[in-house]
Amino acid sequence: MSEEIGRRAFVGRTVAVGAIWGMRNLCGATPQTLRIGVVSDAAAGSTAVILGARLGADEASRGAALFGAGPVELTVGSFEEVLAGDVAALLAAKASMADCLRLANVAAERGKLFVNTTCAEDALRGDDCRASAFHVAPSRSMLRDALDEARRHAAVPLPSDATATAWDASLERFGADTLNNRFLARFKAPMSADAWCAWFAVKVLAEASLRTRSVDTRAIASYLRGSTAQFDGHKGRPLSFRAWDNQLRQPVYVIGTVDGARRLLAESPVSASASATSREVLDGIGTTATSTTCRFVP
Amino acid sequence: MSIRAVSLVGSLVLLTPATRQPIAQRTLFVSNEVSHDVSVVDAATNKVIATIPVGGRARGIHVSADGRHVYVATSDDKPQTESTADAIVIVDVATKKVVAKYHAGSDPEQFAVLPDGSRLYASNEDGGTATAIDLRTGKHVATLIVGIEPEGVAASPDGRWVYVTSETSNSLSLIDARTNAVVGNLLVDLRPRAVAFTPDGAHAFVTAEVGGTLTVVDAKTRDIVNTVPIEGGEGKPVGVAVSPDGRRVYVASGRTGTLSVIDAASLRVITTVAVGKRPWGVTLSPDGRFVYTANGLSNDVSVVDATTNRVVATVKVGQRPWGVAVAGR
Repeated sequence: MSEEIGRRAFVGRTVAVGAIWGMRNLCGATPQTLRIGVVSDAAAGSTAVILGARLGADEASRGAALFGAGPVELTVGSFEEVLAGDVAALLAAKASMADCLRLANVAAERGKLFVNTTCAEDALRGDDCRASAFHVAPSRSMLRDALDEARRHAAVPLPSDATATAWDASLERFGADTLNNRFLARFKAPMSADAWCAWFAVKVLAEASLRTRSVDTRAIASYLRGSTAQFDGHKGRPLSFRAWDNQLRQPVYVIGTVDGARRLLAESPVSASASATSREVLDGIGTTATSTTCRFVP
Repeated sequence: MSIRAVSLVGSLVLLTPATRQPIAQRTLFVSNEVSHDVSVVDAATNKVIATIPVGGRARGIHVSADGRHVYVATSDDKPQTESTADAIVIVDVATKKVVAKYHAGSDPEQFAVLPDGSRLYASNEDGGTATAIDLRTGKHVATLIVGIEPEGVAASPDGRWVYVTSETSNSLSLIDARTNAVVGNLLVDLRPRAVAFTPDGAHAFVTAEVGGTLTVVDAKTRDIVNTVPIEGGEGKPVGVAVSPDGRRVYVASGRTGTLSVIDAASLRVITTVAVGKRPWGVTLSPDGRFVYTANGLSNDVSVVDATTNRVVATVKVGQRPWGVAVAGR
């Protein structure tokens, strides 16, 4: 029942957004720029997260231009450099759990968002969770559950290098091939899981900004965690953030080497019932609403 | 992008005002993405009577306004690079032979022909553009910037508007065919795949595969007026077609293997018909009696009786059928 109401609310909002964009185009309001920072200490500045964020920002800017909205501007630099800029959200190019926690805390203190694209630690979604931190990277428990499920369902033992991941350059279904091709054509490098997470992080921030017509951190955050917001990540199912820990619900892929080539071995979670909604299916891996230890401080 | 004459056959055949022979016999032309050909089906017997090689991944397919030609969008197996396989192939309905091949920009997937037969608009999936082609000369007359991963294309019945969906930017671009300019963009639901106008041109329906919905656009005000969940929002709507009388909207839901039948006025889902595996393209016979779906994974076409909403025949075609076009009455 609640799902049905949620759906209706979403339908209502879609109507409103469509109408507003038409008006805005006519009025010619000054477009606002959505600023996103990528914290990177690497001088070379070409890690997967940076490349993914760049593709995401370019595509989001092109998309925003269609609707008369401002571009998405990416600042890549040290912690201090990024914070000096008027960014709405932060990503980390390469980060330990301590770095991720520090960025989540800084984001909370300064009224920004931290979108985690690299840290899998469950603690960041549990005891150390922050309302200002959203997790695109799958949690350790999601990855573990996916690998366990793949092992249970496999007809033959999985190859020894089988790993669970958010993304792989060998994926083809659900438009994954077109995204992988765009990334490869642009950077001459395969799209890794880190790159996908960063691309998706920028995409959802920009989409939240576009659909709320705001670059305000609070408006974006409340859209992201809203019960009806969902996003397309070239993974087939609509993706959304879990209200209890800000973790992105998403399919996880088990990839391994077969006959010398990296192959998709399994997609997890597998639907237990034909009538299950996408959300119910995707909540089949990782921490549930009842088992979470996350308590967001209001 | 350069204009290239791809075919030696040229467009002479199209320019010749041949003796007008109305094709009485209803024939289905089915594009096959993997077997790189078009299956020709006699709609009276539901049997394949010919297979026409088209030299590339065959996807979008439509019959010309005069019913004498079938246009097929073909592309190579390598996106991001343009090749001679990226084309609009023109098949003569009577002889069932390829008579011309027009260069159509990189990776053409779907397209629409203006009702007067003058121009064709194709989406270039990897280019973020739509290409307008003059069908008398085969020349490009415009390249329009639309959203990212453009996909669905439809022309309004009066030929004034062309709508293009873009999957990644969740957008619907509205093109004025008189000026060949994008006059507006609408933010629609997730992964918009296809678009179809009502016969009176008042509304357009847009499927959103990941959003699981059908968006209704008022063509006059250019506003989204409704969004209809398909299978409770859990469907995966792709192809869409409106019946010739404008009363029904048919939506193919690829991953659920179903055809949703929707009342165009009330937007109520009347019924959901199980068809073949992964239906993509959907189209109706000109008299509105039959609905055809191209089922990509079961390599067949489902023939649905529009009166009873039951599958009355299943026709095996080529590999990975993508779309169906109907020639003849």
